[in-house]
Amino acid sequence: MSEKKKYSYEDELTGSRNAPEYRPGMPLNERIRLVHRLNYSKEEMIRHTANRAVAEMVEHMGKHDMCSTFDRFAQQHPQCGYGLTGACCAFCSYGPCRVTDKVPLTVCGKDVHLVVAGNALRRLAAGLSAHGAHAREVFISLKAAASGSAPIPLKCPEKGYAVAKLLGIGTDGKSIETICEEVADRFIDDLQRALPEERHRTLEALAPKERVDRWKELDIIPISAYHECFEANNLTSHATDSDFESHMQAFMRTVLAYAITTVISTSLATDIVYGIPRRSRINVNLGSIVTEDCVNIGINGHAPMVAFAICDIVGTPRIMEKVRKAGAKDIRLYGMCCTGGEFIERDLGIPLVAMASSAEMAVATGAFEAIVVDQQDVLPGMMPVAKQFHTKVITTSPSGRKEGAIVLELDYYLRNLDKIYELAEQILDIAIDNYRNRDPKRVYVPKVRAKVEMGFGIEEVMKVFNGSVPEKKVHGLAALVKSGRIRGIVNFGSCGNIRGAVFERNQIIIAKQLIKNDVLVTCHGCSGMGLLFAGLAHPDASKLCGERLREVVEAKDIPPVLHVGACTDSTRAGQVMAYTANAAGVTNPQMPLAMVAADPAAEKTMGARYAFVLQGIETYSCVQDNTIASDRFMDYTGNRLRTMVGAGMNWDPDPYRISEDILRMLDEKRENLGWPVWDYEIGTKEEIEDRIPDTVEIGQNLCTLG
Amino acid sequence: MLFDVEKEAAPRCTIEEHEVCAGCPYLGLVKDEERFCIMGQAPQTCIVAKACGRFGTSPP
Repeated sequence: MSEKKKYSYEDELTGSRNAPEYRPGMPLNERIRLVHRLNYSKEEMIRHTANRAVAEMVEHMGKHDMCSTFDRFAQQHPQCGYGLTGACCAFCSYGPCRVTDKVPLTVCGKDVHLVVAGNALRRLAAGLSAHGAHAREVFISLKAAASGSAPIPLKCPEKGYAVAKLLGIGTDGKSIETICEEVADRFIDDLQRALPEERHRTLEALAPKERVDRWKELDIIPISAYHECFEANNLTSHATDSDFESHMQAFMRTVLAYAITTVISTSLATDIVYGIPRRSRINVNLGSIVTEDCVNIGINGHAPMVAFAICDIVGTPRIMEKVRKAGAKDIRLYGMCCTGGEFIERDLGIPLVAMASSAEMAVATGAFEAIVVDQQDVLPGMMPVAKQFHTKVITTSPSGRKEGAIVLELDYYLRNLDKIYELAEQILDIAIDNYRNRDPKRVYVPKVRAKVEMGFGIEEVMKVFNGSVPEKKVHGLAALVKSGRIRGIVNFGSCGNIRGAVFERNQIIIAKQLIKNDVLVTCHGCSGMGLLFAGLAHPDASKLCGERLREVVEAKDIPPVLHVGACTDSTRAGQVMAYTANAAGVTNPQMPLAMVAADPAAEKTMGARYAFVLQGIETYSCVQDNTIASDRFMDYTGNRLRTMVGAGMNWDPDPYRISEDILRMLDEKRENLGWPVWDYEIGTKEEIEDRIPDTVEIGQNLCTLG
Repeated sequence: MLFDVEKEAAPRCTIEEHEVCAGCPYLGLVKDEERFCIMGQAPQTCIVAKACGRFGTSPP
């Protein structure tokens, strides 16, 4: 992208690090210095994070000798420079080998580019496995619900019908249960197939034709998710593939398997089984926790089976009777991480209180009788915190056990799936029984919360903006973008990192700059949760918008930041973008769109970001991916991909510079399409960081909302 | 509310009240607007309602 900028405003935090700027050919030690300098202390985090509840809890934990993620990060510093830049290969027992300016080859003979590409591919494959395990559970749920083999209700059969139509599955004369079972079978086939000659039918049905044709030209159509995971590990195994281009081709195949099967298909199947998002208003963040007379249960992780079963029975008279007998008046569930994202989208009255990295701060409130966890992004550091309180940690997935936790899980072979509601009740019983052990004197809950409006699935977006499901078009949104009321659409997703950024700061700065300049924002996953906690996902945040966007969101009574769900619900953001481009009569790469993964952390975020790139959407991050040792990799992802798929990966640690890069890119696309262009303005620190929206409540007198 | 450019871009598929639409996720109910269907279906012949057995004649 072009380098012409209007503003020179730079982030004082990033600027004060004196980190060298990345330039091709720079020595490895400078690259390591660059990454080392871009770290922030716990004290800096406390001062500058937008999430005042987390800042307060980290201080509280420090005062009470509880170790948090931020303490452990400080203890790790300085982290290994070879690992940080990707110049270390630890795949086989010849190594670990580090590739340096003086020692350019590993023992087996790989150069730095192959080492970095191999590390990136393996990280991507790990992310594919994680979302793939989630996908498998959801597909099994759908099949079980449709076939009646488990007592799981099919909450949105209408979507099952719509998805069958999308997939080209015949529906005539079939019952809705049969249709939904065939949808599950199709998804499972593309998850696990080994045979190479069969088409990837989900990909061909769900991706825009222009994209499918491009991917076929590049010869990167995956065989199946299982196979691409298998092959990514095979290809990078000891002395197997040693061709950089071949590594990158496998990388792109794996990204597509990740995107189509483990993200898009998962999100669609989840909607069929557990219901589609519904608009609702609720409070979020730690200040939403009820401390008086209430049994509190946190649900953390990603897999929906047990989590939704608990949700289905928690308010039943039978459970409420047990609650009263235990001496409490109420029982409440609270969402954490992406299970929280799934709950809060579906108007179940379950507030979201923490994302993955801040879940242990929620535990440290001492207000939870139980934390129910399944798999992924449940930090091991949660266990020692829970042990300091009466809080019981209960694991429900054999893939995500925790040393010292109570195991009440669906077994590895799902032999007890038909007993899922008994399992859910056992979990609730433990929490209710544990209420008597709570020490009220040790409960500490920061009085910080934000008002949000949730539930913007593709169906709601179509209702608000005159869309059509069969046409796969959001006509109204396209018209508003084309006519110049909305500059573009930018999605925020992925995790939040401790390294390379101040916790929950960068994405808030960028989002505020964008809505100030008339960009409609969508968000999902843990990074999106930061925008919720910052109060941007409520109609009252319209005050922070530019005039044009403000007129739109106020007329429609929607927030300028539309929350679309959990990490796998990037699907919905992708649909909003692709269906808007479709309605505008242009392709994704032509359309003013972008993806922001401000502070990516988990392996899954590798696939999450490149999935948008391969969809033709420019993607931006502030935290570097442990790949900076290889100029060839940096050039491939930052430049060559743009010529291959119409978009690239952009990295800049400065959120102010990234904001301008995005706005400039959106304007360039608008100019190319002949659509109106108007000035943008980068807000100062005082305007962007110091102005907390009215939707965020900080204080002792929080009113009841929603 | 739809802006003029949104109405010009495509007509809304407005529909009359009908019992098969009750609880349907594709039914649009927006303040100050007529009921509409984002699946583009007329309630009397709705393929989604038929597939879901809402006419009382669910396929086997």
